Amino acid sequence: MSDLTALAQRPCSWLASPGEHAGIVVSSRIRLARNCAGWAFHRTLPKAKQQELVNRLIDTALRVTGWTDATALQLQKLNAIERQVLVERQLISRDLAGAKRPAGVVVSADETVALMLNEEDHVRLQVITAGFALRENLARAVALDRALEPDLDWSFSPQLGYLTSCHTNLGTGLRASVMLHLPALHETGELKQVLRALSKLHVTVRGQHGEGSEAAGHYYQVSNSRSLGLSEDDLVRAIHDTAERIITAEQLARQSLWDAKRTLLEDKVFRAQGVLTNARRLSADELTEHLSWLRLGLALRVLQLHVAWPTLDRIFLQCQPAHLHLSHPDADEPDARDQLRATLVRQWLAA
Amino acid sequence: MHPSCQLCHALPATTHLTEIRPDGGRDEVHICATCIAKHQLDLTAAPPSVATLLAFKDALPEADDAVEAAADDPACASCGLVFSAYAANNILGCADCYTAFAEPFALLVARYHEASTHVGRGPANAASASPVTKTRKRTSKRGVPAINTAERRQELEVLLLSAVTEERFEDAATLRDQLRQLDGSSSSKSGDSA
Repeated sequence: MSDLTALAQRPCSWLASPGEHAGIVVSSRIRLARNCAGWAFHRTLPKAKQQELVNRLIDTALRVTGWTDATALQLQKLNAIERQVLVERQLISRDLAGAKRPAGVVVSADETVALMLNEEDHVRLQVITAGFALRENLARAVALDRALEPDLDWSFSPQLGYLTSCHTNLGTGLRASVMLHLPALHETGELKQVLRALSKLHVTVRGQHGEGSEAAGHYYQVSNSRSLGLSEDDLVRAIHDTAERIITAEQLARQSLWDAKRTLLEDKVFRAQGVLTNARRLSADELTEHLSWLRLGLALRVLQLHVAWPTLDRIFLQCQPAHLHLSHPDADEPDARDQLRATLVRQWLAA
Repeated sequence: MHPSCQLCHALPATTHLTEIRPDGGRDEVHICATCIAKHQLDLTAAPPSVATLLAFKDALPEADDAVEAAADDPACASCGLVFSAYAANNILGCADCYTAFAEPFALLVARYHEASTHVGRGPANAASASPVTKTRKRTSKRGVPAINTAERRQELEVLLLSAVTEERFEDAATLRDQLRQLDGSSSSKSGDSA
């Protein structure tokens, strides 16, 4: 069994619903962008040097962390499905998955720490955990950053901070993000107002897989848009406070649905339950949409399912296209995968 | 990889519209999420024409002039990249590009971040005048009541790693003991995990 196949069969530690706030907060992520002094960025660095850099980064990361059970991968040795599995597990970006240059990723055994290598920057260090834990994740990211720094000699300027390949990441190189599940704000139509207000606060809201992705299943990533001029602690505090405001808005919207539109709410939830427990074919998008309503139904106790939150998390992760493809290579056609997805969902919900 | 927004010229564009003209030609516009929200553009139900969208373009004579001027400048001496190439996808050639294109970057950075100076952490081996020292001093001056357990733990972990990497083992032992004390007191207070 390859490293990737084994990885794909495990649960994701950042996905542990309901977490805090009745499943509204899914996960928290800290990302630090770093580059090695004396090395050009990938745009002008010859491919052979990029490979040399990736090898050096993997060796250094494994040695410094002392991780003996980490997964270290050279992305050019992975096929498109295997790369997409890493995207679905939030371990690499979609940009990196599509890159044709030498690149790599080192992942801790529990998948809470990942180092993307030769992404837009030489190193993108991320710490991701379930629930609302930005401050704790920042502490872990900073500790690892400090440990790597003596060997890798980060490119830094007292004026501009950590020098990154794009000016939008200068300064701290920090991106703090919280993934939120906001079905009620979406349903009540209040989400647009919230997003409009946030755009004035230097906060970006994107879909589940970051830049350019759609907010499928009502999942939204809230993150800081600027990284210079504020300390790491202040940036994290700002995102934490903003996320808390959105959580409150979602809670109010849920209450509003419960009080004023109970029938509509129940209809959405029970329809979702009906489809997921009976369908014979399910596309990934259809599953994501219905699973979202099932999560809300479980959080609001609209339905008393004999399923636990971990079952919903398992379905959410293992039924994504690349996970399904990797674990069931015989289902190599979309129609076959849709049938397999429906079968697995019925089995797991009935178990 | 990230074309710049054609309205503000600063943020990476996230929405890309293509309009087919009657003569078969194509017009494209790339816009960032901030500008979409700022101008309250509805790009799903009834997207405006490309010409209408470009009418929202910010008047940025200074930035535009700087970009034009930089495009005529020699390439970055270290990697050969010219500034106009950066403006196309927001990926630099090397860290020295920030020095080579200092003037246009001063505008782009100030416009995007609304700041021009880093105030966060820096490498432990940076000059003593680096912002790291200043930030830590300021943090400690805020006083004990403002620092909660998680923040204190974070501070201690950072100091411990710095001490270990700089081989200040006595300091490291003291910090390790302080962390243990903190762990002991927090676990006795509550069951929260770190």
